[in-house]
Amino acid sequence: MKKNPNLEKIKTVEDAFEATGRPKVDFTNVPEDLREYFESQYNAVVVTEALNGGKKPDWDNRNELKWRPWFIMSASAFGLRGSGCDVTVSTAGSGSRLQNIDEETAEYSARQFVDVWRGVQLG
Amino acid sequence: MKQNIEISGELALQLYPNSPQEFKTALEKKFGVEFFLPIEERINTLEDALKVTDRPSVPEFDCVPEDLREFFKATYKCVVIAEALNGGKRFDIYNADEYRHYPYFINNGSASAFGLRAATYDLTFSYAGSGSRLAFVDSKKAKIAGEKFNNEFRDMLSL
Repeated sequence: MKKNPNLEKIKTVEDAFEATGRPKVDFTNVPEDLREYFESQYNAVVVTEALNGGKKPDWDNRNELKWRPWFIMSASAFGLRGSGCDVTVSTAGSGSRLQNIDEETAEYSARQFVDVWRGVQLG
Repeated sequence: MKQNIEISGELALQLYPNSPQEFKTALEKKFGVEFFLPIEERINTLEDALKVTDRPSVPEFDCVPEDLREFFKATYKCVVIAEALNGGKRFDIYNADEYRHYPYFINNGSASAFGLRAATYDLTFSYAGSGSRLAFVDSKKAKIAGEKFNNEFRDMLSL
């Protein structure tokens, strides 16, 4: 039994869009070679928001743990390596829009939405 | 016999370091002294980064919901800054022999306390959000990005 009930409901990117009410968008207003990256980033934001049940981690709150998945980078074996959390430090790219509310959610996100995260890495 | 030759900026940058002083002076006269400074000294503002990369100014991102626009604008800025400081180099993130460096920030609970803590690197691991577009070719450039573009990175991380 998962503690976060959203993990039972959000199984596809479509589920995430439906749950959040976010629209599908296209990024024709950005340079063409960056569109895939921004599309993946948008999908990742929507998936994270859905899995967090709409809660956006408070980036300035030092008492709130924020979790993110870590990936092993290999063309044949891209996937979850583990998850980590931080309170007071953050690396470029690991903003509050891409952080999960707990470890279970971060690991589920990485396993269930591996293609989304691969797009963020490669886009 | 005197002849004029056309030389591209790219070729000028290649020739400059090993050229005799007389030729260096000629190149500087044509392209400007600043043109030959190391890239990290030439990139001091977002406008510098946009100019060097020839990227258009920050899009409005009115394609995304309003509450996400500032986040995407900040991300675009950081992507362009990284591209400029990396001299346009893109990473092969599956290459386990290629280090990717990232600025690492400390967040003490307020905008005023936000700042660069260090630069870190990865070879075969990567965390959510850290794509090849936000990595730097060396720790010096990652640190410079974190120091000079503190506000842009804070916006991307917090908005």
